Amino acid sequence: MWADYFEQALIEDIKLLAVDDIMAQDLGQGQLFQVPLLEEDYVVFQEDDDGNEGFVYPFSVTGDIDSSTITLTRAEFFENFFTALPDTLTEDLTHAVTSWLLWTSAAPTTPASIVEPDHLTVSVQGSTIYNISSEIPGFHGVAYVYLQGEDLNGLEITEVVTIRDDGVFKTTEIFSMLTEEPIAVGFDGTVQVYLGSRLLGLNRQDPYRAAITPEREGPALYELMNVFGTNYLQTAQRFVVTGRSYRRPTVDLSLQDFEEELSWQRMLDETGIPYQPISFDISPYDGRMWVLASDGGIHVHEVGLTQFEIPPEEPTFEHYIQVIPLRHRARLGESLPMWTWFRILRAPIKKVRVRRVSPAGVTEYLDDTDTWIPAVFNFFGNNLASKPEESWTDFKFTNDFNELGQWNFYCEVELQGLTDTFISHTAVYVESNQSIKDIAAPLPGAEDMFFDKDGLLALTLPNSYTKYDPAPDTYFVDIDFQTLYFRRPYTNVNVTYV
Amino acid sequence: MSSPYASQPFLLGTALDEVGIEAGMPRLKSESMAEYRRRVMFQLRDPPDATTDGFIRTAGRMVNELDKQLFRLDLVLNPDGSMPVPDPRIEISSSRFLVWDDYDNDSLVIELDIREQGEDKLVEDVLLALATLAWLSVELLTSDSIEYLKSFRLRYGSTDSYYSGVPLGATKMNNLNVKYIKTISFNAQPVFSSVKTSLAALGENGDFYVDSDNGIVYSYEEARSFCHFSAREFPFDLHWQTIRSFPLNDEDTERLYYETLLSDSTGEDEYVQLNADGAKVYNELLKVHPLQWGE
Repeated sequence: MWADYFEQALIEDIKLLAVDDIMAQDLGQGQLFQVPLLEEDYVVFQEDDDGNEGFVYPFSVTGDIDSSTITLTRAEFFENFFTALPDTLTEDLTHAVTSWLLWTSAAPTTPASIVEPDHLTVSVQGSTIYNISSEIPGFHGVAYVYLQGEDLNGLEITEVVTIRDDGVFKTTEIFSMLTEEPIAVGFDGTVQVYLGSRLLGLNRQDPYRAAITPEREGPALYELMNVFGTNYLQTAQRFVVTGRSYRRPTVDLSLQDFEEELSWQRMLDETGIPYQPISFDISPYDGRMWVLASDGGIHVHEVGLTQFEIPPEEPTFEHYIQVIPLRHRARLGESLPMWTWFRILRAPIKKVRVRRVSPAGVTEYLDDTDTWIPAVFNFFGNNLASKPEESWTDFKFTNDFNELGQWNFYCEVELQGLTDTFISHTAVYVESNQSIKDIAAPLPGAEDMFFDKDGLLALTLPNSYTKYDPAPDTYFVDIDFQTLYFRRPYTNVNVTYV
Repeated sequence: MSSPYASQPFLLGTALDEVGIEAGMPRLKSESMAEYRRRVMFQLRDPPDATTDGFIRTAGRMVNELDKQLFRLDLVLNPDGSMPVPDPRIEISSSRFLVWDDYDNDSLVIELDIREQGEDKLVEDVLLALATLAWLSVELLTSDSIEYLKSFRLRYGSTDSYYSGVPLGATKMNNLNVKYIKTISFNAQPVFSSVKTSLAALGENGDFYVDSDNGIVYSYEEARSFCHFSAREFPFDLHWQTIRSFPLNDEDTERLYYETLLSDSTGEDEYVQLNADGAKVYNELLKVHPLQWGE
């Protein structure tokens, strides 16, 4: 009896989980398109006159979509077939939008209608207090926004969006209508509900990756930061934090106390030329970042920080003075403070040289006016000192990081009574992120982008948005079954051999 | 070279397929993942059941022919929040679209012939007729064109709804969360023995008052009981179905399956002669229910 009951409960739980799963944005690659080849088009194993052998693949495969002929690229491996990126985007549908903002607590009224069912974006900003459980009768301490509406089949649904702290949240449910005004409980910030995953100008959390440093790990946040007219992609790490822990009159902390900025990347296109990013979203298919440029072009990037390179000159095994930068990742054009640090007091200092090698390979030395010069410059220790700590005073200097790439800093130290020169090394990376794929502007003037509920790329204009199919024009050959597979449906597939 | 070829859909299994199969709903070959997710969500959230209504609602889902939400009809309430007409009712039978403003007194205000060859065979005809009623608002729910949609495909049903065994809390005011109550009965007869017409009239044990428009039950004593009630379902959504079903014992099926003959006794046309469609349907029925013959 109990076993039956337990089994039934388990099934119900699994079903609920499954329902939750199918709400997810990523629908997977469940539908391909195939062409079984006839014998005269078979991919066969051959040996040529020179004794080279291998499969002979078609010289070209073309297919038609909407009366335009497209040449398809062969994916050598199955994983390439699924992760390939498109050269162009095919327009799906355009929807007119009267208002992206569906409802705001600043001017509460009947929610606006939703032109196309999708996940909604709930933005909570400007809270000065997050209530604790004893402050409101019946409140259990978890702040939330309660949404009531209809799903894409017209069935009544509700969703409780848990608000841990001010930020931007995406509903799990797909709403076709909000039937009641949203209810916000547990905080005093302004709530705004938007159509689609519209996150213009707001930072967003990577749903698929965490930011992990040697010290700690936490959610990875991305934001486009405008510095003197140029947008940089800022990556930051946020420690797990709730609004209750610092948005209180009695607590003297701010959100910055819970965030660590990791890098500022200059965005480069496929050829290495900088462009101005204005919006981005993370692809639900492969976790890559799709970035919208100010000229309407789309650039696809792998997300992450650049790996430090092995320095061209190895430091010595022993070294006594190090160069310490404020950060090891810098923004292009940034001037960062750095310090010398007499870390191991082995012997009095005789001479110190601080040398830098720019990413272009130019070597310069720091002089006593905080200037970098081509000539060698020595800082001398106190010759009269008998103790190491009396022979040297650490100092601060600056470096202008005006070149992308890894800057290498060397500190060369000569100690009194020793003939060796001890060299330490420190690197600072001026970050950039080069696109792995550029796609020509499908919608000139687009101001924002997001992946919609079906994984289509939506580009927005002030009063409309257009969806595009991000599937690539690629094919894969299954030799065993002599079948071609495609990601998109083509008519008039032509297979040609030389 | 044997080109050109035409590509055909090929299904790859995903986690969504496992969910769909659990719901008894495998993916169709030409169905996109988005369509399948929508269908599976529909089935899990609004599962079919062994009722007439359950069958009518869900028959099309198995072949990815989902009901299309066309319009939402709602009452235009009086300024004081009361119903604009005494007893509104909408019914879509097998062959007619009917609207009453006072159903109890049989005051029929719209009667449309929605048969395939009927006078009001298009959804637009229904829309035009509804526009003449000031007490009923019509909200368009679809962005698709409704031009040329046949009104015969409107989903069978009515604004009648029934609730049974609804618990009442141990208070003197219970919100049923259903508006426009029509009839109601209670298990605890002593508490609900004398119906009053206003809240102010409650004066002794057994008195009760039902705010029908808002679905609130007031009693002089604490309720602590169960009630059973019928209600008028407003707002009422009109759905359009590719696969339409209706019960064969619906009285209006005679308009579909019979021809009229002049009655000797009344001198009026009566539906008595089985037509070709009717013969086909009843023959199918007799194949599986031969014992029905002659009863």
